[in-house]
Amino acid sequence: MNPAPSLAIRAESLVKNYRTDWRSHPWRALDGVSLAVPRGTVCGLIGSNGSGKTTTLKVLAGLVRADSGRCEIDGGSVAAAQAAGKVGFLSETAGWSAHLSGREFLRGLALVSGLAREPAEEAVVTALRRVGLDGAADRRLGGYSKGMRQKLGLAQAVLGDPAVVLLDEPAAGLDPRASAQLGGVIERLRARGRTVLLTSHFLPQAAEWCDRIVLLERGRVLFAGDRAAVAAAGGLDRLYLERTLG
Amino acid sequence: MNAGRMNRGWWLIQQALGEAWHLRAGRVIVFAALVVAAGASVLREFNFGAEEPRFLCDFAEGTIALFGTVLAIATGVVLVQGGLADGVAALVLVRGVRRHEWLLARWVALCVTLGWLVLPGYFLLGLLLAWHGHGFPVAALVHAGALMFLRLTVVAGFALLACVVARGLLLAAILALALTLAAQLAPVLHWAQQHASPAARVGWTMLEWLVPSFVGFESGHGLLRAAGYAMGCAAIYLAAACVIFSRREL
Repeated sequence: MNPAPSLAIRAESLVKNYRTDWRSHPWRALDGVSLAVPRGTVCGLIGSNGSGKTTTLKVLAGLVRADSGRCEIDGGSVAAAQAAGKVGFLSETAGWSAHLSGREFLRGLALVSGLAREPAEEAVVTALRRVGLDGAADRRLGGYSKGMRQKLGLAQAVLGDPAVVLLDEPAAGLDPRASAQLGGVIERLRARGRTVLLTSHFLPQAAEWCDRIVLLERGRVLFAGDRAAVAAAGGLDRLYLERTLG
Repeated sequence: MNAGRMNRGWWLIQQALGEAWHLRAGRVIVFAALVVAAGASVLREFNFGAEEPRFLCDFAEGTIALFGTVLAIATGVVLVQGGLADGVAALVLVRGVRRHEWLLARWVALCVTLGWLVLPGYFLLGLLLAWHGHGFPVAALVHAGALMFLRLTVVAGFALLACVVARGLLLAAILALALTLAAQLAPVLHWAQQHASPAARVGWTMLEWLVPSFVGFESGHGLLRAAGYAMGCAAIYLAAACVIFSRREL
């Protein structure tokens, strides 16, 4: 039997060009991005708007095809990881079907993931409990606040206990208490050996939650290192300002 | 096909049906269509004589065709473009659901939704005919309803293709409507092809091949042949939609 790979996420030289229409010049969103995220760690992607954070997550989630480069999730292809239920993803722009309750929405996702009815129900209950949404599980999504929707997004990302969780701006729209709860959820994911790759604009949170930081700017990796490397660079704020402005 | 994939397909269809059912615009279109179709009865006082059943049928069928087309395009655009825009599609697709599975489930749900208009529409037509003393011709109504349903499944295929080609609700709706109009005008294309110069005839012939014709779905045509034609057209348009969607970035 092959040992489990030590890297949960590996990306090599990812390049992605976008074209807004057929006449426009392509715009390079990713310009040779490489990532290596060890298993059981939390990695933060930080950078300015348009630096390529979301595109990187979408390539890893299989929603966007890179023009060149390769990426692996848990030692295999992205498609294989998806088929095996190893990837959870929270999109920055996730909308919800207002007519469903939180429980129904998650149940639908669990069932299309290929879970049978009973395991699906169990997975839904566990996911709702993990994000502290079990009290509002049967309310219609149309009546959810922004913070509750964000929690539901997190619940669907951890639904079925995937090995790799990709979170795009998970703290957006959360109040300080909900944000602290989110930190707790991420901490528990790490404690159970799950790997989290998240994007954030809020540097203190990223510094607190993440074992590793990857700084992106204009589609390029300007810095990648663990907490010690960040500390050696003078802290995350300084690192960010020096590398992106300098 | 294994049981897991069958179950997944079933759940995908259920989800799409739920979305279609809760689409207020869809219910308004169905209601409006039934009201307008029933309006044929009001014109009774014009006394069409022996042509009355023909008039009733043409009026009701025209209404169902018009509103059915609007329903197919509006619902199709919301189911596909809406799902892509609000990110729900992305959440489903990262769970190992293949893109063509998601798209085909939407088409099936769209066809079922069209049944919500066709079934009561033709039942209503039967009631109108009976009320006017022409009896309730079950076999003829089933035949005509099936032809109409088949025609609308092709429109649903147009709508899905338009949704994956175009970016934006309005552009998708316009493209689907243009395809539907072209199919409606297929006899004109044929006439143009017949009367064109030899050089231009090549172009018209190609256009005739690209655009399906709705002529085969008019009343009186054979059901089996129409079903084969509709399934063939829908398959071609859905296959094209699946190929384009598989390369689309979300």
